[in-house]
Amino acid sequence: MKTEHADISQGRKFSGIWLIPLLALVLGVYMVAQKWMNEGPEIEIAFMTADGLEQGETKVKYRNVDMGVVEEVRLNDAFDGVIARVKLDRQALPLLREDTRFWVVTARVGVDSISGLDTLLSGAYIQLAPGTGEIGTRYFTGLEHPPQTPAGAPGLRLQLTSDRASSVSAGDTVLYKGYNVGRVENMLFNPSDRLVHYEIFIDAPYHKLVNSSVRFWDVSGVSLSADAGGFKVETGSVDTVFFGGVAFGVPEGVEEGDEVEQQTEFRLYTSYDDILENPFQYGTYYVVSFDQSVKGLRPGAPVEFRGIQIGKVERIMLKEGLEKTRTLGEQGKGLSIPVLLYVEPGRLELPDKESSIDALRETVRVGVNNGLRATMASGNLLTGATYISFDFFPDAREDTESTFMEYTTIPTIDSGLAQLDQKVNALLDNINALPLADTVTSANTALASLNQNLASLQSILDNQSTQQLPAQLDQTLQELKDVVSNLSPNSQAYQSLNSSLLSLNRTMGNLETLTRTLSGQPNAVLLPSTPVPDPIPEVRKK
Amino acid sequence: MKVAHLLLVMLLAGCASQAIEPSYYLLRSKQDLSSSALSTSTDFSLGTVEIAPYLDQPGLVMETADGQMRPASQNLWAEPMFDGVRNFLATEIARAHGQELLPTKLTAKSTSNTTVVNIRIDQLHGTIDGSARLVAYWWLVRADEVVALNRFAESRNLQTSGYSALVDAEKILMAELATKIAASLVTTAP
Repeated sequence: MKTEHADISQGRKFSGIWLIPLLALVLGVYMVAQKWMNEGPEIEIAFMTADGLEQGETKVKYRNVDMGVVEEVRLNDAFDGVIARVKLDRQALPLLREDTRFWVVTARVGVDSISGLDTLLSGAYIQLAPGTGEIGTRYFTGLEHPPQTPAGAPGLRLQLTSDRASSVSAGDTVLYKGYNVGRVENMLFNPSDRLVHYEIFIDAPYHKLVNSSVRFWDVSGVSLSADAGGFKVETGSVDTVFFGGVAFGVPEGVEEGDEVEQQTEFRLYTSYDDILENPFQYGTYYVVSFDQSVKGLRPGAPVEFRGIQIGKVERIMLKEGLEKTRTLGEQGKGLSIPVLLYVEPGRLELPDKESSIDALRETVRVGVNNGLRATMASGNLLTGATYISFDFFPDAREDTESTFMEYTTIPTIDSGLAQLDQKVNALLDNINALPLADTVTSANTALASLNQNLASLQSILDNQSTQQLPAQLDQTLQELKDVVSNLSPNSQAYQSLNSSLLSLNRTMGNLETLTRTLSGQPNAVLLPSTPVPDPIPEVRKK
Repeated sequence: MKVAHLLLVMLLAGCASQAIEPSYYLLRSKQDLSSSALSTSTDFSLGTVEIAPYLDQPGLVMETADGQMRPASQNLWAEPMFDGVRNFLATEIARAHGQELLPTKLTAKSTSNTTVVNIRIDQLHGTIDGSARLVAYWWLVRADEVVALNRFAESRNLQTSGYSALVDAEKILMAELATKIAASLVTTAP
């Protein structure tokens, strides 16, 4: 049998025709890769409104270079804003950082400036301001207003709070000794804490002037005050007069503080005088309870230690005192009236720092153990105003600090004020007991007698002889004048008197000669000496 | 006893010396002036006439040595020195000026129109070597301001020895002083 073998053919090898689609595939992949590599990022920016934004029209610019275009504008999921989807060029990738900011540039007319007029012709656009944070962010929240400070600008951003809105607003200048060193970037009223919050930025290198001891105050407008020295007008720079502004500095007598961090919060004072009245930032609260009348004690009354003011009365905690009385069942013992005090360590020459509060508290604690007590003292007898005075009473009953609500309490002792009050009341009772009615009757009688005497005096004055007295007196004076004139140097009487005085003078001279003679020769009267002949003037011999 | 009294009287009589009769001199001008012949000056008046205190005494003063003065006890002025000097000068000034100067008040106050002549005699005495000396000042006051101050200091030898010649020499010096004063009135007339 013959075996047949089939010829096995290898078939046709790879056809050259397949090169065409393969080449097309490679080319397609290359083109896709090329497009993917050249394509820029796509980001989303949230705005409150779509004012000025148009799909396919509104551009995104950085340093006036087109970086992309808005491809879509749509409402957000909550319908309370819009989201703009933006296609950016690839070169914008390094600019997309977590703190990169976007805002719509359009024509704006404000009180202090006009900007964006060029957009009236070219149309609004989105301005990109790159940040310095982490790269890679794709979702941003756009600013409703252009930022006052360029992103990444060196300096210090701080928070100011005020309990009322002043003339300060975003864009106002920040001054240090009258020099412009920064600006107010933002202003916001927070309903939760009922405070107005300002965000300010201090440009470098002036941010080094800010430390924990500086105070910020409003220098808007013109401050006019009058006192015994006359009128005083205070203003900041010219622009702060019209547009408002903030100034800062370290108050006189306050030490320089520590360096502060970004976003540190400060209080915005209404004026520099407000700072002088409240120069210290740090303080602590104490409660003192009195078992006596607190009449005349009002919020703001001074708290003194041996005459030095260390704080003020914050408020009288009557409501809390009643609560405590009810809670502890102390009815019938008499209600102690707690008074809340605010004490500032800076007033005791301690540094105006938070650490000083602990030092003050320790000092008070030791002081209470050694007899430190609070008393009420009279500040003004006319108005009846009182204040709290601290001093050491070594003989006081031993006591220690305790707490009332969250506050530390300091023991009190009854002041002499209450005793004085009792004495004054006793004195008034004595005055009431005086026989005032009898006294008034006696006084009336005396007045009637005086009236009679005055009537008698009037009758004497009305008498004709009394009325002639002035004329007679005048005549007498005239006669006296005549007598005096007769004694004038040219009068005969004067000449006669003068001659007599000269004779008297000569007689006195002779008497003096006689006395001198008798002094040298006592027996001259009985035994006259031989007179010495006068020396004769002799004619000169020629 | 009678003998003792007699001895005492004799002793007292022996001690007593014979008194010397003093001589009196009058300082008067020899000019014969009648009141009717003189007119009074309206521009000038005679104010104060002062004499040095050592001259205000009865006796004439003699300088016996340099700086030593001795008032005479037997040769006396017949009237107070002040009266004599004022009288003499008033007469002699009237003679030289031609008008009599009426006396003003002793306070020497002058009105705005009248010039007051005030005079002070600082020295007027004789010397033992036979001369007379006169030193005087006069000043003119008009409207309470001194308008002129002059000084006169002259000496004159005596013609003969004795006090009478001294008085004559002093009169001549006083007359020369009055002439000088009258001349100054002309130069300072208002």
